[in-house]
Parts: sequence; C-alpha cells; structure tokens
Amino acid sequence: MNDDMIKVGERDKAVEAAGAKPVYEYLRKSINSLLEVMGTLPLSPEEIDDEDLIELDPLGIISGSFGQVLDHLNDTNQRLNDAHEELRVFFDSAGVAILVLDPSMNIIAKNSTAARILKTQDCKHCYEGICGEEAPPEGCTLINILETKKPLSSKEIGFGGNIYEVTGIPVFDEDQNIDHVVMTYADVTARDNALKAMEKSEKKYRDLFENANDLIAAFSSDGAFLYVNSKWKNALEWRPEDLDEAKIADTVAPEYKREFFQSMEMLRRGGGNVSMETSFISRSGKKLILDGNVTVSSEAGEKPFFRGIFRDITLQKKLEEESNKAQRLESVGFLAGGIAHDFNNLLTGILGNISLARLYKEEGIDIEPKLADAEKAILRAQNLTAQLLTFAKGGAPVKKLIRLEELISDSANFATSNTNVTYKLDIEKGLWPVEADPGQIDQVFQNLFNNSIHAMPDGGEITISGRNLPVDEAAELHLPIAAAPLICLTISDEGVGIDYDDLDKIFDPYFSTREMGMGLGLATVYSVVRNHGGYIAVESTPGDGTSFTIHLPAKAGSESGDSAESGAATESNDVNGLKKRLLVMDDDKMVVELVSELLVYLGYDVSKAMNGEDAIALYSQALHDGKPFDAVILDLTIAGGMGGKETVKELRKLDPSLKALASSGYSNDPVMSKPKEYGFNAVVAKPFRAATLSASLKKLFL
Amino acid sequence: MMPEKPQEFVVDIRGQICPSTLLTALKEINDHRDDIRSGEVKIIVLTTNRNATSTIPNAAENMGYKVNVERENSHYRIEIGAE
Repeated sequence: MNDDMIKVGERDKAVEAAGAKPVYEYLRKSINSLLEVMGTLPLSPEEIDDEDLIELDPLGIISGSFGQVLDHLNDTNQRLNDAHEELRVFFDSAGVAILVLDPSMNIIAKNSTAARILKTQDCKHCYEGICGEEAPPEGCTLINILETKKPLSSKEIGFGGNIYEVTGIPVFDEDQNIDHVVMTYADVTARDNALKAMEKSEKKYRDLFENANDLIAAFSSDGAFLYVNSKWKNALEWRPEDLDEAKIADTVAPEYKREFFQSMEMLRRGGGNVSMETSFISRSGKKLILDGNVTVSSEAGEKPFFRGIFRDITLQKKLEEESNKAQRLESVGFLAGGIAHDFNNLLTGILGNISLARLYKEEGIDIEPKLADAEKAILRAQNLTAQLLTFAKGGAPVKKLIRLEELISDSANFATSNTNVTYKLDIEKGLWPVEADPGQIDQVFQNLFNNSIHAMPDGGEITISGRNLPVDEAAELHLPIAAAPLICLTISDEGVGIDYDDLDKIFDPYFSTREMGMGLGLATVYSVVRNHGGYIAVESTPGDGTSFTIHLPAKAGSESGDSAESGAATESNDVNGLKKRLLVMDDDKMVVELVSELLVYLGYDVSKAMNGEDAIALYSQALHDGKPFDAVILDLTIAGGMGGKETVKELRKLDPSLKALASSGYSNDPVMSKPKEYGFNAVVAKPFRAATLSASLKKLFL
Repeated sequence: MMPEKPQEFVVDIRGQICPSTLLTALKEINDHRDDIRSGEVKIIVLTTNRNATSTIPNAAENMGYKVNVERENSHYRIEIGAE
C-alpha cells in the first residue's frame, strides 16, 4: 500500500500545482478531527502528501468504520431493549413482590405482585402500602438497610397479618451513596403457619413421649440405643452417657434374654409386633418386671431398628403375689375352719357316745348301741379325711373294674334317707363297667346327691340316668378327653339352681354358696372325675334345677367286673391270735398303745416300736434270741425318723420270710395301692376297726 | 454457524506509524466487514506502533468485534474477529 501511495503521489503532482491548497487543508482538518475522535494522532503532511491523501481516502475509511460503529450501536440498542423487556416480564411475573425504593422510602417502581399486595395503589411509601402505617414501624428492614448500607433479610408482618420474608439490596450511585433499594417481599404466611402447626404437633408428640408413664426406647439391631424417654432414664437410673454406652443386651435380665432376643429375631425376619413380659435391670441392679410391645421399623434403605413401649408392672406383680398369698391363706383358713367344724361335730359324737357308754356300763345298761354310734361317727370322720385326701394332690385312684348301678343306688339310698327328697333311677340295662376307685366314685355321688338335697329344702326328686356311649357316639360330643367308649351319667334335681355368675366357679376349691359349706364337695367331684380320665359338666337354670353330667371311660362289652365293695368287714369277736408274735411300729403313742391293746385282746403277743431304728433293733434281737416275730405292722410316716418304707427294706434283708403289714392314714400313698412293690405283704388303712385289722392279719397268716 | 477455523488476513504494517496504521487497519476491516461478522475471516494486524494497540482495538470494539492483543517478539499482534 505504501508503494501505491507513492505512485499516486507522483501521478497527480499537477493537482497540487493547480492551487487546490484550501481544499486539502479543509480535508486534512476534517480528517484530523475525526482521527482525534478515534483517539489517534493527526496526519502530518510529512507522513502523507495531498495526492496520496486523496488516494488513501481516510474520510471514506473513517466513515465506513463509523457506519460499522453505528450498526453495532443499533444492534446493541436493540439487544438492550430486548433485555429491558425481558427484565420487565421477569419483574412482573416474579412470585415475590418487588418494590424499588429511593432513600426517602418513596416507591419508584413496583411489579405486578407488589401492586396486588399494596394497601392502596396510589400509596407513595412502602410503609403505607406494605405495613399500612403512617410512618415506618420499629425494626423496619428498609431503614436498617439505609442505615447500614448493607443487604438485609428479615421478617415483617403486613397490614393484613400476612408474614413476609423481606430481602433488600441497596444499589449505589457513583459516590457510593444509596441511589435506590430493591426490596422483595415473599409471602410466607401459609408456610409459617404450616411450620407452626408442625412444631405444635411435634411438641404434642414429644410431650406424650417424654411425659409417658411407660418406658419407651428405640434400639438398632446391633443393640445400641437410638433414643429413650425420660421414664426409661428414670426407671433404669440412667446417666446421660448411658444412651451412647448402654446396650439392650445389658439391660434385659439374664433369665429373660433368650426369649427377648428370639422375639427380636422373629420381628427382624417377619416384621409386625411382639407383646411380651420381660425384665430389665437398672443401673443399681434393681429388677423391673415389664409388660411391653416391640415393633420393628424397616424403611427401605434404612437399617431396621426396634421400638419398644414397656409398662413397669413390678409393683402390680408384687401386689398380685401378695394378693395370691393372702387368698391362699384365706382359703387355707376357710378350709381349716370347715375341717375343724366337721371334726368337732364328729368328735362330739365319739366323745359323747363313749362317755354315755361309760355311764351306762356303771348302771349296767347295754352299752353296745352307744359304742356302735361312736364307731359310726368315727367312720364318718374317716370319710371326711378320705375326701380331703382325694382332693389332695396325687390322690391317685385305686382302680378296679366295677359296675356302677348298685353303687349309685346304694349311694342315693344312703344320701336321701331321713330327708324329704326321693330319687328315680333311669339306668340303661347292661351299663358298661368302669375302671374306678369305688370309694372315690362313691364320694362323687355322695357330694352330688348332698348338693341336690341342699338345693331342695322343701323336698323334691333327684333323677339319675345312665347310658352307654359307643366310641363313635362319644367322639361326636367333642369332649376334652381321650377317645374311648364312655358311660354317661346324669344327676338332675328340681332345686334352686345355680346363679349364672357362679357356674364357672362351682368346681373351684373352697368355693361355696352355702353358709356352712367348705367348698370341697364339687372340687372333689371334679378332681375325682378328672383323675378317672372323665369329664363333668353342669347345666343349671335358677329356679328350675341343676343337672350334672359325668362321662367316664368304660369297658365296653365287658361282662365281668366286681360290684362295689360293700365297705366294712363283718364284725367278729373271733379271738385267733394263737399267741403269734407281732411288732407294731407307730410314732403316735396313742395309736401304738391302742393297736397293741387291741392285738393283745385278739390274742397276739405284741412288741412296740416308735420308729424304724427301734423296730429293726427289736426284730434283730428277736431273731438272735430265736424268738422271731411272726409279722410286723409298720406305720408309713414316722415324723423325724425312719418310716415304714425304709424299715421294711431293712427288715426283709434280716429276714426274707418277713410278713409285713403297712398301715397309714394317707390312703393316697402309693404303698397303699401297690404294697407288694414296696416290700409289704398287705396294707391296713387307718383308721381301722378291730375286725378289719383282725381280718388283714388272718389273711397274712393264711 | 461459525466455521471451525476462520481464514486469517494478515495485515503487516510493522514500521508504519500513527495514524496511517489505524487507517490501514480500518480499511481492511471495512473491506472484510461481512466475512468478519460471519466468523469466516479474522484480521491479524502486525504492528510495531504501540499507540495502535489501543486505537485499533478501541475502534474495532466499538464496531462490535472481538479484539485480542498480544505481544510477539518485537511487534504486536492484534487479532480482530467476530464476537
């Protein structure tokens, strides 16, 4: 280009010669002033001569450039306008209210949201429009911004009670003075209210949790505690650090651990909830009994953890125990009272008759009836003790195959004699025999008949029915007993009946509705029937009567079977002792003396021992002396000494041909039902009559 | 769409002084205005005149171009292209 300029310069030298100097000067002046605008140096004539100037055409270049600058300016203006419009849309469409305010708190601009919330559209100041006040209120955010010259956020309450989250940003002029402030107002009333409601609700649950009277805790599956409530901390005497340090395994009492962790494992696998009675140990080692419910939380992506609510039932348990104890004591008292009462009556009968016998003897009157009466009273006492023992634990029946027809009619006959109650038998012919203890079954009937008689003070009729139930018919009844052929006995009366509320209690021991009742009768009945593998049920309508139904397993089709034992052996004054030598052992001096006297009267030669050790010594001595005993009568229970069971073993070692008779008042002692298994030859149950003892001894020497 | 690599027009005016440096550069920009705007062309001005490193970028920026000035050994490289 430089070369071009020089060429142009040479070619047009004529133009300069023509004297166009003023034009060139004008051009140079104009070009230079434009160059100055563009920030550069003027063109000097030395740099470029007039000819080259025309050739170069700086004006053309500069105007071309200016054209481009103008285009660019127009373009920029358009973009600015677009941006302004965009901003205006943003401004108006913003969800928050925006006010632009000058330092005197005049509203310079507002967006459409702001226009909606302002109190009036023509208000000049923000405090009028937003706060609804004549002057800025205390704590005004804008005033704070104007004072601190810093952006600020705070909350303000508007004239309608609306809560605004206010943010203000100051915009400064060149002198760093606030030119205006852009304030945004976000209405957070709904959010704030929801938050407050949530806080309130949370507080409510927190209060429930903390003030609960139950122990509440959450623990992870590795046994660490996540949270516990105050009751938990107090009850288990926790220090604050125990929440982090304690493990559930240390808290559960050792004997409950197995069950507790089995339950947790079950929950972990199957979810749901588990109720339990468990025990926790406090820091000081106090043991609490708790009734609780544990659930497992297994949110997706979270480790499962357990939440438990436990109620401290330690005191309740203690009270229950105390109450049970008291109840037992009361029951024992009640029973003891009843026994004492019954025994006193019987003893009165015995003592009175014996006293009378003595008096009559002096007068030479026949004493036999009085002695017979005394004996009867004693037999009744025997029945009473038998009943008590049947009811006692382990009253195993001494069973044999019996037919019940005769036993029932005898029992009914006996019970209703001397009363205004009659009975009617409706028993199927060929009622199957049962394996039963006749004495105990007799007690069942006696008790049921006595109840019926008491229920009919003005007289009435007892209906006794009996029928066979083959195994298939029996099965249809769905009784809670083993499947077997049964006999079904029903004893119905026309009495006062039993109150509905009392029905489920009548078989409880000590329960009685009769003032003088001991409450043992039906308990005994229940116990005997159950011990025979049977089932008893009761139906009653107050005012219409009561009906007891007994089902007993039967020997279907069995034709044999003894009838019930008739009871007492026939009285005999047969003196048959033949001077046989007997050893009697009993720890009761009165009994031992009485039995000895009786045996001496019966013609025996009797030695006495008070315990097993004495008995063995005497027996051994007699063997040594060549005058061995022919038989021993041993009491099974010797207080504080060797009893009959051990003694007979030792004696049999000394003399394998020993003849031993076991004697006991405990008719439920296993020895009494199976004497041979224990080394005895036979038994005699206390109390016994002379004839019974004599008969037992006679059998022994057969 | 801007071409990946614009064509470069090198204007070597090393040794020239103001204001002809500026005028030469402006002329080149004027001549290629459409191609520069579309991004097809870049004007590279090589100059030794220090004053030109402010006058050329000033003028070019006012026209709406993107200008980059670098010093290369004993001269300046002024690159003028689309924004």
